[in-house]
Amino acid sequence: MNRKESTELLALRDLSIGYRKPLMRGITASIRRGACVVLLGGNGIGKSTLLRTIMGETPPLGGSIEILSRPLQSYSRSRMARTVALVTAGNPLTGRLRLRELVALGRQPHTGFLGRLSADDRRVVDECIECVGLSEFASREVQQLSDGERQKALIARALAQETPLLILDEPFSFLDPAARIDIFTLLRQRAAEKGTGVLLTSHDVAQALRLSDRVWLMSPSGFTDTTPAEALRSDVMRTLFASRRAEFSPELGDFIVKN
Amino acid sequence: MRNGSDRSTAPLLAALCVAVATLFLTALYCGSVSLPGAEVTHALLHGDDGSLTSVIVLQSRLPMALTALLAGGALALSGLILQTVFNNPLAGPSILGVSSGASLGIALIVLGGTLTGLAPGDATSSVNMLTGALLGAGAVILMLVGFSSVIHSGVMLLIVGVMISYFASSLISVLSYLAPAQQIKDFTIWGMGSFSGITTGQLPLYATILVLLSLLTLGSGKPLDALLLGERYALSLGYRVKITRTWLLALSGALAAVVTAYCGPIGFVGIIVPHLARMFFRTSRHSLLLPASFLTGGAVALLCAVVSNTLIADTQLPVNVVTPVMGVPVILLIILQGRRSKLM
Repeated sequence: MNRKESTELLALRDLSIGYRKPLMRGITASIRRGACVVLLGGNGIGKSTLLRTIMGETPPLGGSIEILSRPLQSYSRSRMARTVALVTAGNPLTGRLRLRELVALGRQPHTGFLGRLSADDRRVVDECIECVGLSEFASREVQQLSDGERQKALIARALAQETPLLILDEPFSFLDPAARIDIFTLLRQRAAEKGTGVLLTSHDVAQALRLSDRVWLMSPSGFTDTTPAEALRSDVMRTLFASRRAEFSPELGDFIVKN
Repeated sequence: MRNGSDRSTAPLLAALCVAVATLFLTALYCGSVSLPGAEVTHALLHGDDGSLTSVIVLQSRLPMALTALLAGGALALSGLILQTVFNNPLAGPSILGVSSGASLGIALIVLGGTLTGLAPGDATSSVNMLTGALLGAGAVILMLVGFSSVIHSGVMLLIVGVMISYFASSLISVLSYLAPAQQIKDFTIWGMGSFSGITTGQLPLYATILVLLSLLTLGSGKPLDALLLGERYALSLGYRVKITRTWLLALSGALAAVVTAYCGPIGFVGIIVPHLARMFFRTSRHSLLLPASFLTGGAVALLCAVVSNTLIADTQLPVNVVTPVMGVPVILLIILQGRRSKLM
């Protein structure tokens, strides 16, 4: 096995995504161990569909997806659960689940038929709660937490799955700037420490360009996998969102009102 | 420190067991006929000695109490599964039409003798009723599985359930219109709901099936927990969601169908009990919620049985006269609480 294969967590080759009709074609990209990748693009361009396709929820319309150098189709559901963890967009109902119980759900792929937690499982759960800085709330009901805390709790649940790849769909919606930076830093730290690959979608362009290792740009003209520095220099950012009122400012690294 | 809530739940579970035991004994000692307590105790300890008291206690009250305990527990588990799988706090076997499906199955057996070719005596045999109920409930569960894959709104699914109930009632009316008077009477009495209809001879089959189904359900805490967060999370946790959901719904349908076959369509228990259990135990974790719901369901059904047998002296009221009185206020409370999204 050469070095490239061993560090590549996810590889998309000439992937077409969509439902019957392709939303986007020719997606070629990869995620290496410890990399934090932000997927940027306008509403309805297919960001969530791409995530669903990588998760195996929607079949690809063409091309290939490899996770840890193995084709996605060869993964069983349970093996997939030990390889990729997901945080969906929006707030799931958590009922009366307490924070520790929610995070413990992440251990399910590792527990037996009845789902009993071993001492090891409990240690991982506590570690993940500590990792997101919510130890003092461990016994609280998740629905009593603030939006930012709840998002962190959901991320802790995904971390507890102990997967090499972590996928988050819009983890920053409803969050104030401080909480966004907080969570982004947390994910980066985790990626650096454990070598986890992180793929997330966001609408916060400035933050993505400042904090991510790579950006995946989905624009009407196509798909680009690049570094933030190159994205700033390239023309792709200008066409990222189809708007007559907004334009990209490379100096600010963000979109501004067109003069 | 397993879950932060475990230490406080052991005394609660113990208290619930005591409540169930107390209600069970109350059901043995108090009934439509008043019997001296000492004689009841004697009958319980020394078995059937041919006295009227021992016959009443051992052949009527004891089977009735066991029937109620298992029926309540089974309906509660059925309701809890439906609420979790459909992510809907107002789901339950009666509101989603599962009980109506079972009723229609039974109506076909009891009233539709001319169609099925069953003699009237055979028609009301428990095995035939059971088959009818399971087929009817199974058909509704399949319809719900189908509808829920297209309809993602919980409210719409409830309306589908109500429509299925209307449809079933209408077919039952047609069958009643065509059936002879005696069979209509049999069916009507069955439809009022009763825990007293089971004879000591029928009890073993009824109890065995319900205990087995309940054990299977009690062992399904893990997938139910995974489904709490919705289908995508369950999928990402390694479940083949369609298969898991269908299996859980089949369990739920079977639990409701068996109870309906033997006791009639008992309303409200399936929908309110999971909420009571969540309220008492302040949890959504199914490893705790399942046994808690089973016990609470047993307690509620026993309470209904005691009330329906003792409210008016020398008369046994149908169970379905009592359940709405207890159920409706709880459901209204759930809806009012729902504004604060304290559901599930």
